[in-house]
Amino acid sequence: MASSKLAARAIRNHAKYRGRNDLNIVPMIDMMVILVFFLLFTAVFSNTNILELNLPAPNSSVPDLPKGLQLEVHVRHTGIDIADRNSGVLRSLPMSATSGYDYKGLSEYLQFVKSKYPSVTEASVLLESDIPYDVLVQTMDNVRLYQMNDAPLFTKVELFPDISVGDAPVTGAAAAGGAK
Amino acid sequence: MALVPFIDMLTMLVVFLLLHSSDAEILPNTKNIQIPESIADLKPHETVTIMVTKDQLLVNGRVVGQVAEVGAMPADKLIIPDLQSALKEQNDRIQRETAKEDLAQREITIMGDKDTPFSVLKRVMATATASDYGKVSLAVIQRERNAGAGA
Repeated sequence: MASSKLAARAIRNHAKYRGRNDLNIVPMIDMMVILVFFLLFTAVFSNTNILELNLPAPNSSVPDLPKGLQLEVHVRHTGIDIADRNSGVLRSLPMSATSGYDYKGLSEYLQFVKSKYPSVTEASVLLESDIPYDVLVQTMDNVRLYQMNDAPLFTKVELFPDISVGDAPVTGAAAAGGAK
Repeated sequence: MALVPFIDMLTMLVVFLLLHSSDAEILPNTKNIQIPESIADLKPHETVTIMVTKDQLLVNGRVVGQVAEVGAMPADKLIIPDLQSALKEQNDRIQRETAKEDLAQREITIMGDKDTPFSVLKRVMATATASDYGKVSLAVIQRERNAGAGA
């Protein structure tokens, strides 16, 4: 009979496991160790993020330039110029031999510009042709946001987040808008 | 039993690592190029990726050109023909659905090496927009927060 078979098994198991009142956790530990190693090797500790650009479509016509500030940041081998498309260079930040481009000065001046024109969100970063990509990203960082030094929060304040990228006008040429 | 703290620690490690690997890797591995650091905090989307290494141009992992050749192109030529044909091919293969919706809303991510000259990058971006990719994003590595402050 089935029930008597079950009962017999229960009695047998009871006798077999008598005195072993702890769980067998060794297989679990094995599995955990394998999991830890697997996750450690697949984990990525550098976070990749993206910067969005505001590029015009190639077939779109040049929009009518609104009045007011048309902020441009020219990155040259000699330094960074902050300019308004209509009125010319506002400020030049020469490159220093020791610390490279003056990103701090750029950030400070742009904060000043933002305080004068709080509604402007667009800016163009215009570069000379063989400026490295890293300089473009650092410049964009400083034009987009200003990171306050209030540890541990490091609040980010928006400056000019809509950035387009283009060629820097040749020095001396009058009012050249190089946005491509 | 003496094993209990060990198990506790293992469990904590497993949970920690699980949480950290939860955001799936979208962008390809970047061991052979150094991409710049930035304070940007936008997460990457699933897009077509152009990778600009020190000497090659890749679209979704396939080599389509040499950086030196692109750099040596005449100044008024902005479109890289090989890259454009590769991008058009991507359109047909992966992006047919989104392409139907809106051409200008399609996205592309550029991963460039730190030292890529702007003349090369400019041509890559011009080719991307000419191949109907309206939104161009640049891939960057997140910088440590305190190191980026005030920089």
